[in-house]
Amino acid sequence: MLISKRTFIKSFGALLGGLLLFGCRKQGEKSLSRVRPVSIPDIKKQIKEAMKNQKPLDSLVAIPVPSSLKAFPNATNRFGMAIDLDLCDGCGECVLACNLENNIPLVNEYQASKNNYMHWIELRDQIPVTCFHCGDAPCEKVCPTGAAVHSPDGVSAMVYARCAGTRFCGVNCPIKIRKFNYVDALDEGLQFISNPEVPVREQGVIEKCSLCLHRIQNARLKAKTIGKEFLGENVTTACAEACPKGAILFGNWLDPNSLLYKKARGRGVYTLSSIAPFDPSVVYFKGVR
Amino acid sequence: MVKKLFIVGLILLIPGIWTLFQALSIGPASWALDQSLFWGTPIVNFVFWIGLAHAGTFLSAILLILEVRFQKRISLVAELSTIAAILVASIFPLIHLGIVSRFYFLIPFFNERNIFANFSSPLIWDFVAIFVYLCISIFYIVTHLLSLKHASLLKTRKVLAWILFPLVLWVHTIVSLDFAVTTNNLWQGAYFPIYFILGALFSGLALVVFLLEVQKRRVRKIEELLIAASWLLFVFWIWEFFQKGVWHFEVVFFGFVIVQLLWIPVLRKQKAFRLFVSFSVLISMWLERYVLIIPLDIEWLPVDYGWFALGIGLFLSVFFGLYLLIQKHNPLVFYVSAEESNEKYSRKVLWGILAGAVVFALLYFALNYPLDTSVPLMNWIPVLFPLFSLFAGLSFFALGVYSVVPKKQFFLVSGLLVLILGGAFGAFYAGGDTNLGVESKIISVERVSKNNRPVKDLWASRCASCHGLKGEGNRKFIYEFYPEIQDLTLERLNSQGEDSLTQVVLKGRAFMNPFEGRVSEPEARALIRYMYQLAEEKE
Ligand code: HEC
Repeated sequence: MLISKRTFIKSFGALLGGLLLFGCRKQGEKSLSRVRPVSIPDIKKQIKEAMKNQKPLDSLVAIPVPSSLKAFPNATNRFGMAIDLDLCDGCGECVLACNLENNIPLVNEYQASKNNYMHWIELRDQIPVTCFHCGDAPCEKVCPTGAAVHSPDGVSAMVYARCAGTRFCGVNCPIKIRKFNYVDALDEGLQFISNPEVPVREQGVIEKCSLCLHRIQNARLKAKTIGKEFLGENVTTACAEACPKGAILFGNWLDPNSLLYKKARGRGVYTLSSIAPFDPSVVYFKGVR
Repeated sequence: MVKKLFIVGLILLIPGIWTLFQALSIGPASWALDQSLFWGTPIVNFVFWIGLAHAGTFLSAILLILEVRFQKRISLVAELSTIAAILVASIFPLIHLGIVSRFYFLIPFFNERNIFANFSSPLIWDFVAIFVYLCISIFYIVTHLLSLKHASLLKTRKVLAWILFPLVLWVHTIVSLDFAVTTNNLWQGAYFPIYFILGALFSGLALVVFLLEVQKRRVRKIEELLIAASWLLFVFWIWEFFQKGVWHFEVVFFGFVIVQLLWIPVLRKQKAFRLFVSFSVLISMWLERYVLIIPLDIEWLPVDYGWFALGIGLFLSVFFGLYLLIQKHNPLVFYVSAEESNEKYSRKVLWGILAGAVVFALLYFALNYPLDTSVPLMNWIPVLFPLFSLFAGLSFFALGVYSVVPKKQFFLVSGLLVLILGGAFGAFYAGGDTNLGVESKIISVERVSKNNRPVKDLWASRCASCHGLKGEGNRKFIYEFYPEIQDLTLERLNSQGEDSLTQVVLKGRAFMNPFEGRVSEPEARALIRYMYQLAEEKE
């Protein structure tokens, strides 16, 4: 051997130590001041790009109108939405409203070039697709930490503080609508905080449509303060509010006075074929039954 | 040869460590993933390495039980390779987490802090099973080394082999369930556990062929097993083709066609050729996992390549490092075989420990059971069995070691271990600080109180729900549950004084909750001062 054992071990140790220091150095000193703040036109631009390369859509299949959840048979609420495909023309206004309501971050150029956006609502073949809040959700079953859970009123919720980022839920979602925070959007200057009510998600957690949970909770608190039972009156989601055609309806599938319930009468109720086995709370209306 | 490979391992560790730090500092964005592909190359490598580990156990423990003669000649090498491969394998799922520091959320520890693992998720089963597997593998090899001197330990070894036998099958079944329970129809199928176990054996056999060649030894039986396994897997590949239309030529070529060349005696005599076959099998099995987990074409990033350096480097340096260490103590250890011994445990001991293990596993179940009744009973079994094994394995191991080492040493080491493990257990049980984490970045930090909790955070987390962030009173909440809160004015605060207000915080008053135990005295005082500050700001 050319080098003695001792010198080898010494130099090897020094090398490892050096690498360790190198690995621990602060990654990319991007000072926030250098980054141009995100503005609404930036968000619009990414939405437009996303709408240009839309992903394909599964076929639609007819399903019965959503009813009580199997896990909570005595609940009085099951919130959900319906998207009326006879009215929807795929304009993308709902995506923008959702982005602003929920502080959805932009993605960097590399991710954008691969068509990976964080949008909670996506247009696929001109049809808005979002989390369907399945009553029997496959994502919740496999989440090891219980970060993906079902609320008794039918929302498939995400507890960001519990998420360890195993991404098993994303793997198990049949339509891959869950989004993973690959970067720290705040650090990278990709974040536009337009709504202080919704927390900014950290790097490493999964996020997705929450059915505007903060709006539901605010309305619930109001109802409780007055001392009324809360059945989801006076709430609507940001996307439903923004839709120029009024194609998106939010409501309570278990309340006969809810607009959603009334409008479902006589309409054809559809969902994507890959979602059909999981009892979705968000459905499509199309034609008459 | 051994030394050279050890050095090769260390050198490979250099890019390996670089990869590790790259992956840890950038996170999952550092390897090839996107918003529809959430599991990438780390998971491929995890399944590959854990498979390699299983074959080591198979060749040592299962063949020991079956009393296969050639087992003795390869068992120590096989056991060492198991330990090294589990160590490598366990790195990948940890790095792959989005937030690595939250790994402990996956431990199904008692529900002290209302963060309880979801027993329906195979990842929880994985975590427990692999942890137990590592522990018992370590007990097993230590018993082996000790039994070379103390033949009475051979009976312990046999018992441990009996525990390991179902456990390896269990572990790899669970690994296959990570895939088989999903909605992805390319991953579904009741045959998955057997398919995975066979794949694991196949790759592990190839690895052992290589490791034995390093020692300039050759076991013909293993080559025959290799051929047999290749045929079995071939059947599965054909089955997959007819079931799902999946056919990967490269996997079949490296994993089946090339192995068949072992039938030709001229080729098989060549050492180089045997090594070539063993590498070909390893490549094939890696590719098999790759095409299973990543069916699409994706663009690799440097870290994806770096995993090879990390995996191979760590394996070689751990395996050959331990090899050299053991050889230094006992130069012939890899060539001698243990003595025969027909000693057996008495029935009473066996039943006693088994009963203890059942009680231990059931106790765990009972302590956690009422938590989540929505989880079917079935989902507990994957965890209860490893716990049962852990208890039984540990008891037999301790019993065996106790009988051969000096008592003083035994109690010293086990006492230390109990202290360390008990401390770790206690630390987990007590849990960490429940202060606001990320959110508190927004609030500027003022360190006043004793244990350095910023008062503002304390106020925000403990008091603001009723009193409001600025002391204005949270109307929404107060209307619902409590009478109107007093207006926070300097006059009112002054009229009561700091000391008595501190007592109000600690002891409570009317609708104000007592906070004794939740905030310390100095903290309460700091909070009162903070209230003064808020009142001043208002005026
Ligand atoms: C559950 C709601 C609630 C929480 C949480 C709460 N308080 Fe109170 N607090 C009250 C109510 C209601 C009163 C009025 C009680 C009364 O008038 O006797 C009060 C009164 C007080 C008073 C006496 C004020 C006065 O003018 O007499 C102090 C001091 C005080 N709180 C401090 C705190 C601090 C410090 C915390 C956090 C550690 C805290 N409170 C958390 C509900 C709360």
